[in-house]
Amino acid sequence: MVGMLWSRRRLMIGAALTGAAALGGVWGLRSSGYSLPAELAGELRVLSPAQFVVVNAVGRRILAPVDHDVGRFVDGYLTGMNRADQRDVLLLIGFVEQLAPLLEGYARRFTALKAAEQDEVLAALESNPSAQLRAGFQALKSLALMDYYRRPESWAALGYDGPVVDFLNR
Amino acid sequence: MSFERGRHHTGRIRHDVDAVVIGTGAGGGMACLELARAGARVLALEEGPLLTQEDMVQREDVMFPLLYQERGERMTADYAIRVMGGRCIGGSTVHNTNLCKRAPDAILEAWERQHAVSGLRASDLAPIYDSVERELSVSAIPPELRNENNRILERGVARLGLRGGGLRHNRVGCTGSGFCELGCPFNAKQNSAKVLLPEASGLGAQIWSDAHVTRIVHDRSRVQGVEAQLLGADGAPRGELVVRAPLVVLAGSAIGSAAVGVNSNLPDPYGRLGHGLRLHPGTVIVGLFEQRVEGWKGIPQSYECTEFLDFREGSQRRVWITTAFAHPVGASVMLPGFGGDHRAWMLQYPYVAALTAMVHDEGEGRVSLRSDGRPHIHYELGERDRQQLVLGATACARILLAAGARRVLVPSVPALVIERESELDRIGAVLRPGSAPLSSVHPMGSMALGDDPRRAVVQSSGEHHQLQGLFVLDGSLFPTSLGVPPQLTIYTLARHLARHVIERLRRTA
Repeated sequence: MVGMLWSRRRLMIGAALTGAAALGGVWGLRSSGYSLPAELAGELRVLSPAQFVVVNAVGRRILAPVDHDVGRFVDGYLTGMNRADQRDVLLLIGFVEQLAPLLEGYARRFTALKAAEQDEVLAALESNPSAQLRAGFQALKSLALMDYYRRPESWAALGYDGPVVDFLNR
Repeated sequence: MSFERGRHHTGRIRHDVDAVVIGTGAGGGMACLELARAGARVLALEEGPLLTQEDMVQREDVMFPLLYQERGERMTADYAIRVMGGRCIGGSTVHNTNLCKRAPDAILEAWERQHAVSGLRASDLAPIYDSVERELSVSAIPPELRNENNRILERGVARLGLRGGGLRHNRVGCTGSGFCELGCPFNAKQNSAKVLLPEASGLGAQIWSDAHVTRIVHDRSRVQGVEAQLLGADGAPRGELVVRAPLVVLAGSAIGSAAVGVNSNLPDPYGRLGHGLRLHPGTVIVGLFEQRVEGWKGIPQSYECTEFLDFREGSQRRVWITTAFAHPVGASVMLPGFGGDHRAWMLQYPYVAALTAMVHDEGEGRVSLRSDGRPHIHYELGERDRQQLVLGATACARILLAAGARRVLVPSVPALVIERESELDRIGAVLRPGSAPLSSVHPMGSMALGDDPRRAVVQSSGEHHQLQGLFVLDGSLFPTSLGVPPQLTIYTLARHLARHVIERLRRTA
């Protein structure tokens, strides 16, 4: 039960996709302020530095109070997708950053909001009347949770034993 | 035993055989074996990889992409229901929880009476079920192997005076590690991959992994073979396999078979291809207990509640209850919300029990194709089926409370937490598609059988009404929902109907 992720299906159709696409130019204009260390930026295969920052910001609110960055995992996950699905995911990230806050009355982008404001934006997506937007939120949530809870270091707090086979040495 | 890994081949490869089987799960594996036993030159094609015990590492992030269609992320078109299906040598029999139940007599009678199905009475199938159960070592799950999650279900059922009982399975040498849905590293599952395909291979059957069938070749009256792409480890096409054969057995699941059929432009004069899809849609209800449950340990499902399951015509007791437990990734994704509230539930992980209510659905869906050739599943939960889901979810909550749960969680958005019986009627308001996670592990019925070509895609023999030499031998055949886990009936129908395939082969020769 990995969850509702994006791969192999279209998420951002209808108003959400149209809105995000329309903001493509805005994304370009407002892409300053997302700097990453050059070495890290050079390692990214699909995400831009700006998208990497947004994904990490969303992941932190999903996983709070756990402090964990999911950007590298998401970048790696996207490499396994076809180009059309990758494009949809990137549009979704742009939507969350640029448009979703506007829908909640914030003139700032998602990464510029305070934590409580970010939670408000994400909660609105989770319960949005649009099935596509709910699915988009669920996909972001699933990726963040997958990255964290797949890690053996997360299991002790849950009292979970993990695999009984020694998979690393097989 | 030899299997060909399609990923190791490039270029265009041709084969001429007597029969080609699409899919290697319960239906395909059985068809392949029966044909091989009859001396036919048979070749079976599986879209997914060949996996061995050593590949089963019990990690969700590793195994889901290997075992499941679309990494376990396949959804209905409205994003309301996740539809799980197998994608490896052995198909869904590699990841299922090995439950073995025969088709209810009332269902088989309804197929005959209402869907013009012949030759599939309970008395016709009984000896076939017997032989399949012997071969797959089907047995009752010993009560002492019941884990705490299942004991909670048993306790709640007993305290409420409901009907319930133990389940049967096809495992031998089970260690109770609890990772059945991620494949068995102990090879305890007596399934298509372990029992049927190796014998078929030993008899000369060629079995190919990484072979995605794109088209059944036909002239609109007879089949001529299939065309397949050979997929690399990254899923990208790297070769082509062209198989000429006068017989084609379609057994790629209710989703996959219908998708291949649509893509092949099969004759469909009455518009039935892909229609009639049932899903057994289900939801999960979680109970929080004082004592540790540790539901991830042991055999995942060993007990059932059948109080709300009545197969008589027109019944509005159409919900089956059993246990459902997920490892941390799956559990975390299922829980509603995010941040602190979500984390608080995750920290209770060892103390939760989980039950599922699965609807024996009346409503029908449809399989079509996306523009990129992938299956598109159209299915909307109708109000009568939703009411059954509410009935089942409410029963799950009542059972959990009766078993001693301090709180019960309905994983809807917003989350609903219940602490006493008097609050159970709140479930009906929150349990709606899109507001609660729904899933399907039993898709069926997209190429139904029956002797009336206006209502059924294939004859009662399993052969296509319009296309000679094309047989369907998987869960696509069911004219209605089965109401019980389908794997045993798929194995059995495939064995029972394979005799018609063999007969057709003899006449063709």
